[in-house]
Amino acid sequence: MITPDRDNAIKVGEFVFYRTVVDGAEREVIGRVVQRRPARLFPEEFSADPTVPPADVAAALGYEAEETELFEVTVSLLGYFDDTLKSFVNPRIQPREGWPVYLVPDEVLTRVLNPRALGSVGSLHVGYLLSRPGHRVPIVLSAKELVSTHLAIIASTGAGKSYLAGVVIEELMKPANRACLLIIDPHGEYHTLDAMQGMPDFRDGNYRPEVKVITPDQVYVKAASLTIGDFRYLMPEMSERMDYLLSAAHRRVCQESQKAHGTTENWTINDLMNAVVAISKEKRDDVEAWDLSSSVQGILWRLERLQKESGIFRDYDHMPLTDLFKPGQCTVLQLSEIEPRDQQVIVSVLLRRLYRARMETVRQKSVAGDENFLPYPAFVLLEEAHHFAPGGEGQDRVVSARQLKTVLSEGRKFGIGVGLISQRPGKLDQDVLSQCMTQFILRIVNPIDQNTIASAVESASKDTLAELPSLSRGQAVVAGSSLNAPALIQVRQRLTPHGGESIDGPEEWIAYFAPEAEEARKKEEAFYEPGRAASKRFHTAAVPAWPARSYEQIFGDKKAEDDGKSQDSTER
Amino acid sequence: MLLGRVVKSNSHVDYVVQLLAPGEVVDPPKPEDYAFGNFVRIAVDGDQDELIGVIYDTLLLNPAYGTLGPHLSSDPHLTAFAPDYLPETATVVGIAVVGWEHGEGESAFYHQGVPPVACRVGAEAMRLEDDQFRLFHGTGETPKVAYLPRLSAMGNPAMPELINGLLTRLIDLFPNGAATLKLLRSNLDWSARVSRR
Repeated sequence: MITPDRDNAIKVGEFVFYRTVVDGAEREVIGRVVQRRPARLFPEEFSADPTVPPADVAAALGYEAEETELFEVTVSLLGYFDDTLKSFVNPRIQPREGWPVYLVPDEVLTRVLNPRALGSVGSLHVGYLLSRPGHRVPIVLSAKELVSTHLAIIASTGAGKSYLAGVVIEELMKPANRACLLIIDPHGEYHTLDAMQGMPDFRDGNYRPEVKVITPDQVYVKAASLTIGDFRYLMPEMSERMDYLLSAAHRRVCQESQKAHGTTENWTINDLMNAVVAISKEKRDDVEAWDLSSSVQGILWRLERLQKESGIFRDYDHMPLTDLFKPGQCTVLQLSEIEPRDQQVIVSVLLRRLYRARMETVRQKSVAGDENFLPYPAFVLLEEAHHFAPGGEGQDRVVSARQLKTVLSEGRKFGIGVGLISQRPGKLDQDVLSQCMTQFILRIVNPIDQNTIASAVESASKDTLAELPSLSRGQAVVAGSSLNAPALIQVRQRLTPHGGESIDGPEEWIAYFAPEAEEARKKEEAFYEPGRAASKRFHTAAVPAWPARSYEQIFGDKKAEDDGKSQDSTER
Repeated sequence: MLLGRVVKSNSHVDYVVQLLAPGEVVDPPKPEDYAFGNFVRIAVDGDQDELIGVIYDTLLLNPAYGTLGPHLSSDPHLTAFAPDYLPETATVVGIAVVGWEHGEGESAFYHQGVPPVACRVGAEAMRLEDDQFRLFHGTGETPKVAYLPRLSAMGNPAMPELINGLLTRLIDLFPNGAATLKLLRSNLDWSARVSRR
């Protein structure tokens, strides 16, 4: 398409259409502008002087026409929107030369881009189309698609991904959705969401969203719910003998628990330790040469450390699934201050429990009252996803990665949705990223990350990737199954306060010198201390230093007073 | 000031004017009158129009050149004994037409470009006055030099220097449009002097 574009309306990402007849019906075929190149411009020499516009130079040479510059615009066709199919259909015939091309009006765009209407059930209003300023075209995603086919939010630091996540969470918790949502928050950024409990936008009749923040000291994992793989991960550098012993012991406690209680998860760490000792004894009784005592010591002190140090792996305390997952409840699991390996195991265990519960409920293997009964779908949002599912060398060695992959590939059947948030898609496992069918991509500058997105994200075409470094804060590319066509959006304003702001170093340092702060510090430091040398208490720059004296020396004690000596002993 | 008369043309926009000889008028044109780069106007027969052109070339014609042989009399004697023996040397100038003027005096309109009409042999060529020169180049703050591309395209090797001198003259006359003119001048200088190397 060639255009003079006098009013600069044809930006990259803008939507245009042409009219044609397809199968006897007149259709408007919509396309998206992907590239813009100058087709005819003034010669470079005309711009040699910054104060002289090239148009003036051309005018001096007698060229007075208004349209001098021409642009060649490349448009990628989406197709015409079929109202029955509710999606774009490719017309399979190119437009002819000379056919006029028009800008798609706002109302039409709102209708064809959004699978849901604003405010309807299952809608997520995340922002506005960037190329139509003034919030003229709202972008409303389908919550059903987003939650069932998984979500990825990718951006560099500071580009606004936690803010965007906040917006998506708000939309999920609104009366139109009332989601059952768990947020894994390794940095403690999402506690500010609790403000939504009091806001009118989130109320409808009796419904009011609940935000439950679980602080690190409230995070428990029942030791019996850990698999042998989890133990191996938590206690690295175990020798082969130790591993053999531990596996055997773990098997034994599980079997005994099954026999005694009907479940494999009813044992304590002490039970495990006893099993380790018992097995090593049996082995030594069997074969004299099998002296596993050093291995036993190794396992025992590791298990004890696990028990005592983290405070997370308990014998009986755990977080019930129904506490964590409830429709209308947004649970924030804060994992800050917890060791990274422990974090990975916590997430792995949670996902495993959730998957099993949903599978058993859907297959009707568990009923109301069972621990594994969860009769509604759940959505889990994972911050710092590259930490839980690293790509490259760390692949598949991290317990949470394997579990995450299972959930991502099988979870759709059982109504488990996963949202991944990461600022290093290059560090994220590629299989994991490619399973997320809705993508929000904010500014990415790192070329490695860009290449990752290109290879792992289906809908990321070259023109989408070209726009990524130039996005500003709050602007994102949305693509995938939740929207009818990829779009460049401006994220909407968040209703709850944002928790992820960086600390302002200079501001806080300067505040240290504020008079109120100085006063407060003086009060704290200026307490009376017996024995403290007088010179330190009363010394100023103008007074020469005197020798250190104790309180008794200056003010005297009772005995000195009675003697009448003390008052004269203050020498200057 | 009358410079001479049109004796022939090479094209619709390229005329040859023979200058008035010292013997023809009392006050013949001096060298600075027919200098390289001067503007002239040529009357078009019958019309109120005048062609406006610029002197881009000078030729000296001398039929006596090459005839080296015995003479009947030597030159100083000729002026005394045969004053009607006219020496047939002449100076002709080439004029590139850059525009035309329509009307007279107050209602004169100056146009730049290829004129619709042509003059005849024998048409008088006069020097363009300074105020006319200024009006020819437009009435606004920045002068128009729409004939410049065509002049450059004539291919004459001396043309870049002519244009340079012309633009310098215009910069002095149009101080407000100096920036644009300087840009044009430097661009043309670049392509003429530097980029060919």
